[in-house]
Amino acid sequence: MIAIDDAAVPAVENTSLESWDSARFFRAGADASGVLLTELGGETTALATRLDGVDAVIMIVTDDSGAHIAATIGAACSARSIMTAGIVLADFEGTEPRAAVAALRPFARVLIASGVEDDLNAMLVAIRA
Amino acid sequence: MLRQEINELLTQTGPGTGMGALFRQYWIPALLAEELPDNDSPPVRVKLLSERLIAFRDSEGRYGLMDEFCAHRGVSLWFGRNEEGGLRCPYHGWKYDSTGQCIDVPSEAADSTFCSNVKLKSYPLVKIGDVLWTYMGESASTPPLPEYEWVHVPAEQTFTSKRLQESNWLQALEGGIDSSHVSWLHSGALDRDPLFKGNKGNEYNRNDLKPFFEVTDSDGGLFIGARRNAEPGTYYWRITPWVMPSFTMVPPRGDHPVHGHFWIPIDDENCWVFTFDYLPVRALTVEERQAMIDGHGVHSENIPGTYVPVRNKTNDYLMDRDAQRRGEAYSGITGIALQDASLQESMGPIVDRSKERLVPTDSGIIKARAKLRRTVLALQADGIVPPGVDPAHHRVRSAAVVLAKEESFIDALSDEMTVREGVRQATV
Repeated sequence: MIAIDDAAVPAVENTSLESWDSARFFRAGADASGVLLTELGGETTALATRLDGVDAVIMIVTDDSGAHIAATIGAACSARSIMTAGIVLADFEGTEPRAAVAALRPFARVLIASGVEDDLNAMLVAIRA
Repeated sequence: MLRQEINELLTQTGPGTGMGALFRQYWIPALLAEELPDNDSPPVRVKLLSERLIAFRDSEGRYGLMDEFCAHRGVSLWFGRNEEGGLRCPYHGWKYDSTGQCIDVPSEAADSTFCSNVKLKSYPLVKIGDVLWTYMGESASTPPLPEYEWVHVPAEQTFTSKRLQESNWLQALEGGIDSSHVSWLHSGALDRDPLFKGNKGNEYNRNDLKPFFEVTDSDGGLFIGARRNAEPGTYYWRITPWVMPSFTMVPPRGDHPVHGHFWIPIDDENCWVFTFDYLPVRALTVEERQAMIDGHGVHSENIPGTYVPVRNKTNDYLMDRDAQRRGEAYSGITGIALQDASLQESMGPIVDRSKERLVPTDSGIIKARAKLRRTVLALQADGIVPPGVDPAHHRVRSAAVVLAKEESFIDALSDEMTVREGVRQATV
């Protein structure tokens, strides 16, 4: 589960506090080398490295600031046939993250457009993460 | 999967339960109007939300829905005499009006006021369209009457049937919001069923077996969009509305009537499926109505005089392995309704969701369960009126359209997903 923008991080952090079998939690960033994933409380590695062996990626967005990152992750997952989902947290004030949603749409087999933090937990429980 | 305690919360609807309290916030279908066709027609046993009730229509045409059992000795009032403005128990002659008020106790003195102190629990019963609706909550909180389009169009534009399903209501509902199974389970029916065949949407369904999903909240529940590849640069979208607690509409196909369901708990292991077809702007043809009566489309062929499907679990739904091999029925079961019901009943009366292995494409189901749970808890904790009570929430439509790839169905279809009087459904 990846927080794509800063405002998505607390929700992902809260979800990570539950007990999970195999789910791992990251925040996304980028530098000149490309997209980086920083495990919550852990190290930063390149996107491609982190996707090895992954069977599902859930991206969490709240605004448009990470649209290009979402697109990059979506494309990387698609190339590896990794099931990709996007959850737009709607309980934030501000404008709808249209650019981020548009970036996710081609790749996310599931897009929850009006998510609340509880949906993160429900999704992970449902898929036995 | 779903944690066991949440599964119990969502599947138990009897008095005193959380989900039971939620269902008791709404007007829900109780029976078909055809079941009480005339004044003084025979009373009908009705079990809803684990409460055993009796429905009748008195000499003045007033509908009543009350405790099935006489206050005196507990006799079932199904044996009662429906005459002269009330339902009289045949045992000792106690008589009740349509509100459950006892109006005669023959053994008491003529000027006795005894019967005025005897009243059976009762609920309002109101005819809207072809359906008799009841509200089983606190009378002080009675919401406005339902405004679903299918019961408000002229009679010649609508048809409603009913069938028993031997499973918990949630299993049935979840089938109604699971768009991806259509390309598999119902694939044989798309070309053969008179209420499904012959439209472009079927081609899109067949040609793309891996739909993408988008789910968004509506005022009354959810809109669940499933998109499949269409012509280059476009997607075929099928939009399924869910209105809480248990109303779903199937996206339309061509000019065929639009259909949907209301999934109503009888008890925790059985439910009534109220199934409708309607058209917003034209009458059903004779052929369409007859097809529905015969159990085609999403309706069922029932055992005459009952609402029990002819194909049911006692006869293995008349499984036809040859039809399965020939591709006429993907599961070997004839009829869309029983194709669904057979598999949902096969899970057991209440499926153990702690053993499930869902995938993200089950997101409509995942989101609906989460929304139900949050709504039940908000009702219990703070008495918050749930989505779907306001009649404005009922005025939704399903839709099936082709959009450019860059378009969002949520933005592009807000009008099409809303009831617009005199405007045809959005369909491909």
